[in-house]
Amino acid sequence: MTASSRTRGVLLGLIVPAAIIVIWQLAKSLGALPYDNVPSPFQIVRSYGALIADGELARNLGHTLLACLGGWALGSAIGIALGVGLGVSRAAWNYSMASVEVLRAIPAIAFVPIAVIIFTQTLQMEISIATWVAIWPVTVSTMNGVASVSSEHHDVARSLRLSWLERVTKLALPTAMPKLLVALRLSLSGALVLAIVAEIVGNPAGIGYALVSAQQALRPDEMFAYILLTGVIGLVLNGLLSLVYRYAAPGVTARMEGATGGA
Amino acid sequence: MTMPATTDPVAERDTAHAFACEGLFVEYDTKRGPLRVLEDVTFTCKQGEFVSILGPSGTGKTTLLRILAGLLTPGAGSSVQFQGAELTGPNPGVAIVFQNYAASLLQWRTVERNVALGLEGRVGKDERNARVQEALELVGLADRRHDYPWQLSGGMQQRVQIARALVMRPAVLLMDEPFGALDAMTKSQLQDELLRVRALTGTTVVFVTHDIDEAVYLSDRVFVLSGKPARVSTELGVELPQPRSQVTTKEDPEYLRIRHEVYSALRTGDGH
Repeated sequence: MTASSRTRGVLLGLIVPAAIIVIWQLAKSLGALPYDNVPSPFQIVRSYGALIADGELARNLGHTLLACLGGWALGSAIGIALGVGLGVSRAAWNYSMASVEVLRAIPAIAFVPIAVIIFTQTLQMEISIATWVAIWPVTVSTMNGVASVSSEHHDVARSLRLSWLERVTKLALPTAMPKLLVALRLSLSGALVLAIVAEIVGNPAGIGYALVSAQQALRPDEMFAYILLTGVIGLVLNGLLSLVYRYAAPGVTARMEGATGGA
Repeated sequence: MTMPATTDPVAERDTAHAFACEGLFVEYDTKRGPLRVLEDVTFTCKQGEFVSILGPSGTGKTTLLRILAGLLTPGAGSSVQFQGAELTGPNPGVAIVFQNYAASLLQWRTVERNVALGLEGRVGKDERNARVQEALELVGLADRRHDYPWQLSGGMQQRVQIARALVMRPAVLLMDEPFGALDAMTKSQLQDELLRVRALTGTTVVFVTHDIDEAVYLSDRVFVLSGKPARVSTELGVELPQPRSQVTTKEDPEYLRIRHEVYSALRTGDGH
């Protein structure tokens, strides 16, 4: 894609949201919106100004990001280790698969009350919930990827006498990489959702609690400000991750981005 | 079973032979009981020799090569010696080039990192770079080192695999129908490159193929595998002048005579 067509794509994509904002603002100004508690776009922008000015937004954003990224990093690390173990060892697979299936079928949100009892109303509680939700997609995709190393690659590894560790790092993980990259994205958005949920129902801090207190203070403009913020966080985190992929795994991403086979 | 009384193992070491197999057999377990694919295969390959194993598809050529590579254990009582010592698994002196180059290369690694795979963690960085460079120059791919395998043609991908084997500086290069999937022009080009590389490095080559012309053109000796279960039905020396040429060698009456003989051996082998 050339630079000018990329710019064109972005501009075209902005038409719909711009139109929605204009119509929304007009409807609110003309009194056509039947719901009093839906703020106008202008009110939302104004409350952003106030939240940024008193540092409230930055503090809540920082807290939620810490819980989300901390849980995601921890969960991904555990998931990769677990996935490698289950993918490499037939015995580990046989003994553990039933447990994995049951554990990952439990909605992570069901663990929030018990996490509050264990960790009380703390950041650790949020991180533990975000970790839990991040573990499973990463575990399952790593395990599948590791187990799908081809027989040809096994032969190559044996004839070059690669060690167990080399087989994991040089064959199994790169084989799992395309699936793993997708899973890491999935677990990142999962971790963000669960961090906010944990703040709404558990720990009074961060964006989740800001939403709750704005509701109780009857400040729908602030609520909308925070809701839109979570969307922006998701977008930015995903974009950053794509950037990291491009540099960290160029062979995989180049291939994923539409290589059309050999010459 | 009784083993021959061993005297001094060092004195017994047979260093003239790269490989020596005796009474080798292989059985696979199938639903209908054990299936014997190789029976009483006796075969030797001298150091520096170019040996082809020829036979129709499904005769167990690849199975034999996998045994030589240490990837497959033959039936109990079979003897497979590499440089005079019993082969127990993949040996650092033996490198193998597989038939399916696309599946054997690591598609997420560049050409040079594919070639470096077996050296990583075993030799220093400078030596590794020098050896990778040398191997890539041998196969004429030094300028494509930063490309990914999927960006190369089939012939080039197979060259990468050959470089990955050569970089290990093996005493023996095992090749499993390496040019079988390539078009005729690329095939003859790679045959000549292989002969040139072999002349430069002095590597012993054991080459599996079902192509009679290829076997005769490349080899010093041809073993014909045939029958079910397969055994070595014919062994032929190929005394054609070196270096070989796609034009003059293939017009040589001796070449035609050997070709005829191999062809007849394959036909009688089928008759069993």
